[in-house]
Amino acid sequence: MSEGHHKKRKEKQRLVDFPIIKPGIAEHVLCIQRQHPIVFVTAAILQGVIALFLLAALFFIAFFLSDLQPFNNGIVLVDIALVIVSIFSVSIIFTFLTWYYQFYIVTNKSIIHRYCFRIAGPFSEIVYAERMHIRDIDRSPPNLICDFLKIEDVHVHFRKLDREDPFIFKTPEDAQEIEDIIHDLVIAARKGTYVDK
Amino acid sequence: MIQFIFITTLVMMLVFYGLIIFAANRAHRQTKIPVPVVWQRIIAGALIFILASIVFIASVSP
Repeated sequence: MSEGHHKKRKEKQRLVDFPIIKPGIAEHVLCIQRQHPIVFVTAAILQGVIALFLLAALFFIAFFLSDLQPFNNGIVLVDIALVIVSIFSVSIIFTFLTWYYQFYIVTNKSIIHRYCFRIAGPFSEIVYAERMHIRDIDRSPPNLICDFLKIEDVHVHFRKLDREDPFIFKTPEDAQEIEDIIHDLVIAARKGTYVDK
Repeated sequence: MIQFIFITTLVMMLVFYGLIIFAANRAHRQTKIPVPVVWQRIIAGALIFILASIVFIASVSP
């Protein structure tokens, strides 16, 4: 195994060691992942492009529409640029922290989507595997770019009586790992055994 | 008037910024996962930038 792979495994183990959730009795955390970093990178690039476009428009106005009020004053243009950069900086910090403190967690009893970056406190979407029967698990890329980068969503389908909509892991870091773990859980549940870490 | 609009916008950014810091602290207390050092510096830099912008607009603008 490469050094990069060891480093990645070490990073994943550290996430599992953090008390992101409080597992119940006889419940073990098997996997914790964030969304793939491409989610944050694409959002950041989009915001950067918008900010650069607005600054370029400001530059255009400064040179070609310099007779127009109130843009005839250079200080006003500098002020507008400062406001644009400030809005962009707050926006990108918000985007990063939203991505950084959002987790997909798989335990031997449940699958959880946890948002920790919230003013009102953490919010979790929890599906208890013991109460719902998993009918199918599949992976599919959400768009062409993710397909090209081999980034996939994981859809967990339940019996319609239990839950009509699938539980979706949206672009997790390692969709294969999540699918494998949930697949093992389903098999273990059918055999009446437990999957332990 | 324009100066007032700019300063109000930046003060709103400061308020959002404060809410972001509050939420990040809450997330950190809950998960014990620290914000990366690079991003701590970016966050501090953004705060200084916004404050400096408010001072600049208030003092220099017409």
